[in-house]
Amino acid sequence: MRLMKSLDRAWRLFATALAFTVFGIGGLIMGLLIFPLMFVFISDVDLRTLKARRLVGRAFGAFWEMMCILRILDYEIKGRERIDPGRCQLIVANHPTLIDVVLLISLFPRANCVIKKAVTENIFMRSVVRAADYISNSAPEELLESCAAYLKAGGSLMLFPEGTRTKQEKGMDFKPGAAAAATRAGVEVLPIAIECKPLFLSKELPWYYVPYERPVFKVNILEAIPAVDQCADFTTARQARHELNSMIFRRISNELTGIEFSD
Amino acid sequence: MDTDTLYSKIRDILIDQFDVEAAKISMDANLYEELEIDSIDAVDLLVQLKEVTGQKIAPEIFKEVRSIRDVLDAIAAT
Repeated sequence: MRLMKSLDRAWRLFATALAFTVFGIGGLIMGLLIFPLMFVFISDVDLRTLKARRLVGRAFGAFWEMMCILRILDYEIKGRERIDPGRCQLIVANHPTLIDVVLLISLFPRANCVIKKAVTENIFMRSVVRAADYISNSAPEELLESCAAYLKAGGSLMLFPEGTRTKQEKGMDFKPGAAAAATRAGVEVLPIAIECKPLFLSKELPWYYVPYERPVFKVNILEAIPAVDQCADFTTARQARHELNSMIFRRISNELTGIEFSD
Repeated sequence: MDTDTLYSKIRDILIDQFDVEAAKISMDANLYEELEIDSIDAVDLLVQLKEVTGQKIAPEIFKEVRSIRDVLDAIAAT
């Protein structure tokens, strides 16, 4: 039994290294070949954005399935029926691991994302980010404006309000920007609770740390929080933002403390 | 505009617009920790200060600001 467990763990370490390699090579081929070709063959910006996002979604979905087949992780998704690509909404989730975004983009391929500046400047990733027309966080003062404008124009956007992966010793904390974008644009919020147990690929752990048991992701897509009416004056708008932020936080953290679904 | 007038203007903005308790406000109170101003508020506050003083504090300078005294210094420096 102990031998089996050690073997399983050793396999997961190898498989994780393999997955990182596959991700790197896949990213290289897509970034240097496929996405640049999209610029050559698809001149219509909207069509190119759509196709690029769909491709990223499929690639991430395939990558996620590959990790499951390699037995690196297991996962369950609850609330799939709440996914509605036709809706204009702000999708927010907590961010326990490096790979949350892989699953979320595969579930919401049409949504826009905010990409770290370093990534948008990366030579391999640049074409992906540009083709899919993802938002870069290069200008923090303008970031809120561009997020709100994108939502106002009728698109969906995905954000991790923590700004980075959860710091385990500090606990979950939501920055006010996500709620601000939703209130300014007057769109609904779709909260998603992500749990990974035992934890791996977190902020503090190195990629090569694999837990003794295979990690299980439990993702719960919660009920959408309806859009708040546009507030005319500054103080009520500020209040609405605070309320929305704490509501999103409460819904997600309640879900995380009570998460126990295996039906 | 002299420092005292400006201070009371900022004080009024904080009380009226940002729901800060009057008793908590002082020259050296930490805006973020004691007065519960968040990063979005900070940007809004910057906009309102510009309307009051007519001067634009650069966002990168405002990032370093922690108290009302720092705000006054930043305005004096521009």
